[in-house]
Amino acid sequence: MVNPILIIAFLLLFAFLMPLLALLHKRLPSVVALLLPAFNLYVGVTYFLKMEFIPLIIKTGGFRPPFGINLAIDHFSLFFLILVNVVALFIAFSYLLEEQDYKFHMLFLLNLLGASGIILTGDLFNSFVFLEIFAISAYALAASKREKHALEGAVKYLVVGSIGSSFYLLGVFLLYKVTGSLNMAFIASSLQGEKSGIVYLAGMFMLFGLFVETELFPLNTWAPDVYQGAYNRIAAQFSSIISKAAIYLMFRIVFFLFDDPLFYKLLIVMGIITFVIAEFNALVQKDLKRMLGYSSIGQMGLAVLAFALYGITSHPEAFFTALLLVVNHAISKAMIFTNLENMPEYAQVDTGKANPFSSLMFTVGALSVMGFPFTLGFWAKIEVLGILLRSNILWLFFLILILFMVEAFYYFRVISNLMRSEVVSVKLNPLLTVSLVVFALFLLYQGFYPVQTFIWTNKALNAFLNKAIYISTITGGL
Amino acid sequence: MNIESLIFYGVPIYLIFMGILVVLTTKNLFKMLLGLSLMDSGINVLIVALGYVKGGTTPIFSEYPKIYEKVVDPVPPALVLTAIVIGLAFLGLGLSIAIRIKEKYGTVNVEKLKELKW
Repeated sequence: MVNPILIIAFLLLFAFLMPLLALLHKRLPSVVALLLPAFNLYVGVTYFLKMEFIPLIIKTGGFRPPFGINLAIDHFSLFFLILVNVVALFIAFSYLLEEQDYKFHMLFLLNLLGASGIILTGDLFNSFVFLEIFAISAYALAASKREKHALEGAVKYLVVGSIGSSFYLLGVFLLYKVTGSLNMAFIASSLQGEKSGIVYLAGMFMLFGLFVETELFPLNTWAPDVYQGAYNRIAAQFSSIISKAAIYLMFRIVFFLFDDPLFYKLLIVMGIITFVIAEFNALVQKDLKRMLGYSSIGQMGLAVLAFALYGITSHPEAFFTALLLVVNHAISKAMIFTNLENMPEYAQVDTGKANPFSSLMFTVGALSVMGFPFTLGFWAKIEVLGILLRSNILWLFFLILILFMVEAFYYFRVISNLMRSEVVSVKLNPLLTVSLVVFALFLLYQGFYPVQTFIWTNKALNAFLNKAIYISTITGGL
Repeated sequence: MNIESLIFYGVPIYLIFMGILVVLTTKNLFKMLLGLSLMDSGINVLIVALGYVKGGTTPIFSEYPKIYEKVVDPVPPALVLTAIVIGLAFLGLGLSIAIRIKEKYGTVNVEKLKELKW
C-alpha cells in the first residue's frame, strides 16, 4: 500500500524534471508521461479494492485536521481518480510513438496533477490551488496549436476561466469567514441546519467558478472554440479529464457542503438549458470537431441534471445515473477524439474520406454516447428516462426524449456519411489502434454485461451518500 | 455603516467591479488582461480585509506572548500570498498568448477575432 500523497509528489517532480529528461534522451519524456498515470492507476485500484468503508485521512506536515492540509480519500474520490487516470493512460499510450516537444508532456502532467489534486484533497483552499494549476495548464494546452482557431479559443477560455477562478476564491473565503475553517468536513458539519444569506452568496460564487470548467450554460461559450481549435488529444483531454475533475468538485461541494434545495434547483435549470442549447447547436454544425464539442457540453449538462434530480427527488438511482453518464462520456469521447487522428480527410460533417477501421471506431464511440442498446451508454440513458417517469416529471421526460432523438439524428448523419464515403488508406498508428480496440471492447462488453461497472459505481455511490461517516471520521480526530 | 467598514469593504469591491468593467468594455486584449489583474488584486484586498479584527495587532508572538491581546486572523494574509503568485502566473501566460495573437492576426483588438462564430 503506497501513500497516496506520492501521486501528487511524483507528478510535480517529474513535470519539472522534463527538460532534464529531454536532454538525456529525446524519447524519455513520453515514456515518463506514460508511466506516471500507470502508477496513479495502480495506487487508485489497490486502495479501491482494499480500503475499508471509512474514509482515509492523509495528514501533511504532522498536523491533525482542521489544521494544515489533509487529503481525505474515500471510494468516491478513488473512483474518479481511476477514471481520470485511465483516460490519461489511454492518451499517453496512444501517442507514445509520436514526435512531441517535452513541454507538451510537462503541461499534460501538470494538468493531471491538478485533476488528481482536486480529487484527493480534503481542504477547500487547497482545492482552489489545484483548480488553478489545472486551469492554467489547460489554457496553455488549448493554445499549444499555434494557429488562429486555437489561439482564439484559448483567449476566450482564459478570460472566462480567470474570472471564474477568482470568484471561486472569493466564495471559499466567504465560507471561511462564516465557519472559521477551511477543511471540507468541518465546514460541512458547521453548515448543517439554518444557513445565513452569506453562505448562499459564497455557494453561488463557488458554483460560478465551477461552471466554467464543467461547461455549463452561462459560462461555456469558450468550449466549442477550444474543441474546434485544439489538437485531437487535447480535445480528448478537455472532454474526459478536465471536465470530469471539475464535475467531481461540483458534486462534492454541492452535496457535502451545502446540500440545499436552492442549489439543486439552480443546477436543474442550468442543466436543462445547457442540454437543450448544446444539442440544437450540434445539429446545425458544419465542422465535425465543433459538433463533437457541443455534444460534450450537452452530456455534461445531462450529468449535472441527473445529479440535481437526486437532490430534488432523493432517488439514489439518479446519482448512480450521473456517475454512469460521466464514465460513459469520458471513455467514449476519449475514443472519438483520439480516433480523429485516423480521419484527417474527414473534417466536415457531411463530406470527406475515411478508412473502414476509423469509421468502425467512430461508430462504436458514437453509439455509446447516444445510448444505443448493447453499449454502456444505454444503461445510463435508459435510467435517466426511468427516473423521470418514476418521479412523475413528464414534461421533462418528453423533453429529454426529444433531445435524445436530436442527438441520435446528428450522430447517425455522420455515421451514414462515413458508411458511404470514399475509402482512403491511412497509415494507422499501431499503439493507437490497440488502445482504441481495448476501449471499444470495454464499451461493448459492459453494454452486454454491465455488472462490474455497476458494482464499482455502487461502491463509490455508497461512500458518497454516507456524508455522516465522512464528517465524523475527520472531525472526530480532535 | 461606519467609515472604517466602508473603506475596508468598499474599496476592494470597487476594484473588483472596475476590473470587470474594464474587461467588458475594452477591445484591447492587453487592457483586458490588466483588468483581470485588477480584479484579482481587488479580491486579494477583500480577503485580507475579511480577516481583520478591530483593534488587532500583527499575529507575531514575541518572547512573552500576550495572549489577552487581540490579533488579526493570520490565515487570510498567508493564503493571499499563494493567490498573488497564481495571479502572476496567469498574467504571464495571458500576455504570452497575446503576443502569439499579435503574430498571427497582426492586432490585439478582440473584435477582429472572428474566425469562430456559432
